[in-house]
Amino acid sequence: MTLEAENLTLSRGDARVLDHVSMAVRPGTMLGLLGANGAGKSTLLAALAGELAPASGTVWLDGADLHGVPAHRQARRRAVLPQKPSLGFDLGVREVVSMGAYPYPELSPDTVESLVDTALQHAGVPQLAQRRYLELSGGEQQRVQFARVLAQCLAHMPGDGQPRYLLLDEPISNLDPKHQMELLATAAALAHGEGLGVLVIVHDVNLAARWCDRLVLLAGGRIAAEGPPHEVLTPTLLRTVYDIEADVLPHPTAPDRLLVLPR
Amino acid sequence: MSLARAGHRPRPPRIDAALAALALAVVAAALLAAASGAVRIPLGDVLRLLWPGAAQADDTLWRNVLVDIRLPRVLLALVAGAALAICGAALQALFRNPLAEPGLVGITAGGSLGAVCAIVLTQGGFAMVAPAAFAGSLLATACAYLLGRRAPGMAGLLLAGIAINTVAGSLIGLLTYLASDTQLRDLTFWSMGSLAGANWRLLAFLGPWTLLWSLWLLRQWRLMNALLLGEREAQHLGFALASVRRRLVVATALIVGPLVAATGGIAFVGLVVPHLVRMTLGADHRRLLPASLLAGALALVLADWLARVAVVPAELPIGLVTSLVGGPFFLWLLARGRRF
Repeated sequence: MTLEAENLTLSRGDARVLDHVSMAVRPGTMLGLLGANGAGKSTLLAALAGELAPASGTVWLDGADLHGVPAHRQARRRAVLPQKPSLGFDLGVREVVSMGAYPYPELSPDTVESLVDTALQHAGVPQLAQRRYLELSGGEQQRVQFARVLAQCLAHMPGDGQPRYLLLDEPISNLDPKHQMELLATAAALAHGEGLGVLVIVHDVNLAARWCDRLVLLAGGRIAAEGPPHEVLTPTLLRTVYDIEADVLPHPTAPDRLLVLPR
Repeated sequence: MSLARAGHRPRPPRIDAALAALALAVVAAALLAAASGAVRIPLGDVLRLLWPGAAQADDTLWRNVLVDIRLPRVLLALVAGAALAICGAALQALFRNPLAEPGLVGITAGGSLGAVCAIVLTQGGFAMVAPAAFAGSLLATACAYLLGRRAPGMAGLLLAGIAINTVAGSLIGLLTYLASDTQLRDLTFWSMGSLAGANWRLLAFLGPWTLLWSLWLLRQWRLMNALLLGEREAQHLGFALASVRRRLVVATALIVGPLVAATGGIAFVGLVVPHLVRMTLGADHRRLLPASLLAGALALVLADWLARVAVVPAELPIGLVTSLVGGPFFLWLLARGRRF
C-alpha cells in the first residue's frame, strides 16, 4: 500500500526535469522532499498527484497505475495542497474548507459541517470560520487551504481501510515560525495517528529533520539520497545538493533529531 | 479525531430568503410586464383573464392581447434572461474571470455572422435568419473549443474565442459593407435584439430545452466552486479538467445558441447579472447559480417592459435597453470600487 513513483522520467519543454526517479509515499509516514530550486520537487509532486503524464515510468496508487484511475477516484484517495493558492473570488472560509468534501457528494450536509469544524480545528484556524477568505492575510489563507485538504483527507467513510495520501507543496512558505511548527506537527500527527501518507516539500532542513520520519533528497532531477534524516542530512550530501558547507549536530533538546548549522 | 466530536450546528434554513425574494420579484415583474404596453390591461384583470372560462365576452380584446402577444413575450424574456445569466455565471467560473460572458467563446458572434449571412446572401430569406444564427453560434463555439483545446488550462480557449470573435466580426463588417439599404436596416435591428418573435410554438421548444440544461448547470455548483480555487485544485478535487471544460462549453452553446437565434443580440445580461449577484450574495455557486437564474429573468422582463412603455406606441430594441441601462450601471458598480 503506497503511492509510488517507479522509474519516473518527465520533461517540461526540452528540459528533462525528472530522470528515472523511484520513491514511495507510505501510509503512516511523514516523508520530506528536499532539494535546491529547480531540482524537480514540485514536478515530482505534480506527477504523484496525477497532474502530469510521465514520459516513461509509472506512478502506482496502491498497485494501480495512477494514469488509469479516474480523477474523482483519485480525489477520494489523496489531497494536494499546491504551492500558490490563487482563489480570487469572494467565498466564506467555511465554504472554502467544505470543498474538501466535494469528492464525497454522498455525505449529508450535517456531516460536512462537522467535518469542516474538525478540519478547522486541526489546521488551528477555528477562529477564522466566519470570515471571508479574501479578507484574510496570506498566511491565514494558506492555513485555510490546509484545512481544506485536511477535510478532503478526513472525509472518508469510517473503516473503509483504504490508505489516504496528503501531498503538500511548500505548505509553510507564508507562515510565521510558530505556525510553521504547528502545521508540520499537525501533518505528522495525522500521519502517525490516522495513518495518512504525507509528502511535504520544505526548504528548511531543520524543520524537515525535526518533523519528517524520512527524507528524499532531489538533485538535478535524480534522487541523491533517501532515508531517515540522520542518513540523508550529512555534510557531504548537503554540499552536493545545496552547495553549502554545514555542520550537522545532535539536537540539544530532542536527542533523536538533528540540527543543521550552515557555516 | 472522530467527526462526531465536533459541535453540532443548526442546519441552514432550506428556503433561502434572498432566493425567495427574487422569485417573488420575478412573478411581480412578469405580471406588471403582462399588464402594460400599448393596450393597458388592469393588473387585477391579468390573473382573471388567464383563468380558463372566466373571461367574459367583452374581454376578448384584452384576452387576445394577453394570450397571443404579451404572455409569449414575457415568457421568452424570462427564459432568455435566466439562460443568459446562468450561462454567464458558468463561464465566469470556467474562465475564473468575473468579466467572462457567453459571447467570449464565440456564441454570439457566430450567431450574428449566421444571421447576417442569411440576411445579406439569401434574397429576402428572413425565415433563414434563425436557423442560420443557430448554426453559426454552434459552429463558432465548436471552432473556439477545438482550437483552444490543445493549450493547457483555459488560456487556449480564451484566445481561440477572441480570435473567432475577431474573424466573425470582420466577416460581419464585410457583409455589412456589401449589404443593400434594406438589408442594412434588418441587420441593425437584428443586432440590437428583439423579443417580438415570441410565439407559443417557439416557447414550446425553448422553454423545456432551456429549463433542462439550466437544471443540469445548477447541479454543477460543486464543480464551479472548485474551479474558483484554480484549475489544478479542481483537478485535485476530482474534476477531470478536459471533460469539464467540454461539458460546460457545450451546455452553454446549446442553451445560448437557440436564444441568439430567437432573439438576436441581447448584451450585458450574461455579464452584469451574475456579477451583481456575486457582489451581493458572494461567489458560492450553490446560491449564485439559482440567484443568477432568477435575477436574469427579472432583469430581462423589466428591460422588455421598459422597451415597450418608454416610447409607446413604438418600442425600443431590447438589446438597446439592456446596454443603455446595463452599461452605465456596471460602470457605477465598478466606480464604487467593490470587490469582485
